[in-house]
Amino acid sequence: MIENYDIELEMRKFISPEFVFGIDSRFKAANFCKKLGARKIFLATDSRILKTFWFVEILTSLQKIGLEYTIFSAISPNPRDFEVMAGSEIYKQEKCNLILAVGGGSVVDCAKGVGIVVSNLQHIRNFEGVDMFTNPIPPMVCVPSTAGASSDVSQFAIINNFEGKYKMVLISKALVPDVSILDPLVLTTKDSYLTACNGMNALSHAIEAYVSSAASEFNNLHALEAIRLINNNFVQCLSDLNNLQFRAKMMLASLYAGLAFSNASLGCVHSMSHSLGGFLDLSHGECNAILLPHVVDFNFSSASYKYRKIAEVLNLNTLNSNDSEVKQKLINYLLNLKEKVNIKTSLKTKGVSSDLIPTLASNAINDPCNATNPRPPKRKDLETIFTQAM
Amino acid sequence: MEENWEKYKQKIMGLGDESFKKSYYPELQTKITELESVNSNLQTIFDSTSDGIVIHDKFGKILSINRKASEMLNINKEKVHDFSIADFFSKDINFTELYTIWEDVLKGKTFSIESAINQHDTQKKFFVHLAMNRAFWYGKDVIVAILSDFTQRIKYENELIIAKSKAEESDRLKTEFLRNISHEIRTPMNGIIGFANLVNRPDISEKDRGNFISIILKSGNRLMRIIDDILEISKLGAKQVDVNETDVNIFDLLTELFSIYLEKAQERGIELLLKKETGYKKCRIYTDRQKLTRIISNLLENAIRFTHEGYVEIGCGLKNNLVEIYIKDTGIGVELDKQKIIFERFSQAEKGLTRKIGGLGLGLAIARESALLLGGDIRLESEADEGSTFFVILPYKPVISDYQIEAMKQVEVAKKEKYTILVVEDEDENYFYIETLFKIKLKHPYQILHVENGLEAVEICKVNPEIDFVLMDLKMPILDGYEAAEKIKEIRPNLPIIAQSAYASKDNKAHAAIAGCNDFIAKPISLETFSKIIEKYLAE
Repeated sequence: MIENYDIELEMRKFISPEFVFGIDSRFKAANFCKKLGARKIFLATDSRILKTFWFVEILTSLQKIGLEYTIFSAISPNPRDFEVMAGSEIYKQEKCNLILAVGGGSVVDCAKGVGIVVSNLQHIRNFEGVDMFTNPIPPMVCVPSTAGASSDVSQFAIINNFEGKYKMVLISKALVPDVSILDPLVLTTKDSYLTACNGMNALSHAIEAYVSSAASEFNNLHALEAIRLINNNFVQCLSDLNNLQFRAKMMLASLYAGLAFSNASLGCVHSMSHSLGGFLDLSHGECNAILLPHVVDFNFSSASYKYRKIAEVLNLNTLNSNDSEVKQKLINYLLNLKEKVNIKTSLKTKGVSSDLIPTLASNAINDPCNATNPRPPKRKDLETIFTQAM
Repeated sequence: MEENWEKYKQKIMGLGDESFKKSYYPELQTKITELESVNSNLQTIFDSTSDGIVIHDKFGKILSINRKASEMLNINKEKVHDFSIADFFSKDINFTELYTIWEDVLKGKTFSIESAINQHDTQKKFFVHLAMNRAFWYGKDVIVAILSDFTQRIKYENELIIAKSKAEESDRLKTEFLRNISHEIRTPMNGIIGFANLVNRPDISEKDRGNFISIILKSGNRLMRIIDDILEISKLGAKQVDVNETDVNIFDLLTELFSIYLEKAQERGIELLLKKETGYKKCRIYTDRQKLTRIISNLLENAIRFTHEGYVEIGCGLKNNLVEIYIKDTGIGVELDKQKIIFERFSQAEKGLTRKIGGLGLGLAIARESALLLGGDIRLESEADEGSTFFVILPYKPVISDYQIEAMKQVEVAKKEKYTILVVEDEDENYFYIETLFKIKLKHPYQILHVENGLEAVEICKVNPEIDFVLMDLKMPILDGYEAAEKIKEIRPNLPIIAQSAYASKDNKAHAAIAGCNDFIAKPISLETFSKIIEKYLAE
């Protein structure tokens, strides 16, 4: 078959951590820590994970090979800057030399923040932005538990500036962890709401990375495969939470979406979602789910052939449809999916009032994620999208 | 923010130089910091050591040097790369050998050699102990050479070698001197002891006895001269000789010596000439008569001794504001390379000479050192077998004021039928000798009173107004001569007191004068001196 399209020729690079995927890979975590020279592990997690059986198994495996650790679990969803600083103090006090993050995006991001602070010895707020710190973080191993955030393979860390009521985005190649251990079994302890939020998060990662202005062929590969996997397994997974095939496929989808957005970055869904999460402490996945259809509406004209490709992957009938019809089909699909995974909220039901919109837009317009949105947004554009999402 | 999206995008894509994936860890960072500090400490040590350190690549090209080496080799640290080890060795070094050593060091052997090194540009030569070791430096096999400068040590060594050979020479001369001295002393002693044994035998004739006694006297005098020489040289060596400058007419002195040595010269069948040069009349200067007499006698005696035919000529003149006395002979001469040595102690130009001619080899040394003491020198012009001319050079210190002025007060003894003479002397032998001298020299009737210390002398002077003349020893028990003289002068200011002492230094004379003594004679008292005193005070 002859290729009927041109590939991207501009320079691009692709980075990813070493990762292991598969059932019971969680037991490998201890070995990786040892290999990376752990003397004392800073074990970041949260209160939900602490109660899981598999977390205890990880601890046991650490003990078995004689690795010392200190557990830091005071991490909330949308992790806060002071939590990072508290973790850093413990890291230094306990003379740790390696980070093991077991949990979702919040845990991994907070652990990354601790890593930045202990290596660069300043408040985490000083490192907001792209490439803002000079010393690399300590060795870091992740056991992700959500199949959504994929911070375990990305160069991003999102920390809530608690006083500023907005989320700081910290981006650096040095924030890519050393090892990610993806064990689908750990996903089985998630409830359906969390699973739904995670899945929507992964889908928004994949779509935003694919249409990103920094996209590359290898990102595209991962992004489209993630979209395909989500389309085929998301709803089914929610109806059978203990099915390891569905869980594993969603985990793979999240990994692919993570690799794609880590390298191609994101767009307005995330800039606006960060603003919402920071100001109102809302669930990131849920915000994404609400915003995604409206951002597609805003962006479509700037990357119509890409959105058309997404629609094709989603098996939407695009053959005889013009752009406007494809756009509407895609938006409908997303709205429909949101309903199917039982996220029935809008911004209004989440407590956003219209008088907050200017503030939310002001915060969102400063987010680095806008940089790769296919249609460069103005503050006014973001206000419009927020209004539409009400 | 809105305007910076492109910049952000580029940064996120991470193709810039400053974008890094985590490739090393904080612990490594710590280690690197530690290593950097170790490295900086090593650099400090490298630059603080007192030895030079030079790091070469395996071809000998210099890669780095420390501060000391930079000083030693006189090359700037930044320019080391222009140099190679071979640039600093002197051209005469065995480069093949050096190459072999170099190869061995590269194989891992340690070498240490001593070599001369030439400084860059200045070519200043110095000596180094060079220790070479192989090392690994910034990924290269290198040779580290440590240079310890021992130029100073070599200098000290050379100085020590010179000092040692001087000491050995001096030791050799002293041994020779001792051998000489025993020979020199033994000869007159044989004469004295041998003939002293014979002189009392009843079976010898008066004529023979007379001969024997004159031999004993001659031998005694010779012995005395030897002892004088030895004492003189040791005093000169210890810088204990006083210069006693008086008004001396050099020409008169030469005339005097001429008449003394004329006979001796005639005995040896050579002529002795005294030459009057222009300006000789000016030759009245302040100098030490005794020392000058000795210097010239010595030179004259030598000249006569070493001249077998021809003449010896003496004369004096004034040249360049210096008094120049010369003693010229037609004798054996002195070879050029010996001309310096002969003025050193215990040396004669030829070792064999001693046996033939005799003498201690001290004469010229005493003469020269005395001349130096007088502020002058002795110079020699000579060729072997062509005769020699010794020049005694003295500073010209002309006598301008009235030279008759004497420190001591002049008194006269009133004429009497019979003089009463007081001799104050604690040594019996000395008193006996003085008594004998009076017997020989004083024809006028006299009587001698003898006391043994100063106190007795004062007492007797108090009670006996008849005393006309006092001969006072200065060093005595109970009360010494100076105090005694002072006390006597209080009672009898006009009584002539003649001090006599073995310590005829200027100090002693001055002290005696202050005490009121009217004259000073040195012990042992010569018959001549004694005659003069008798003539001055007690003659008819």
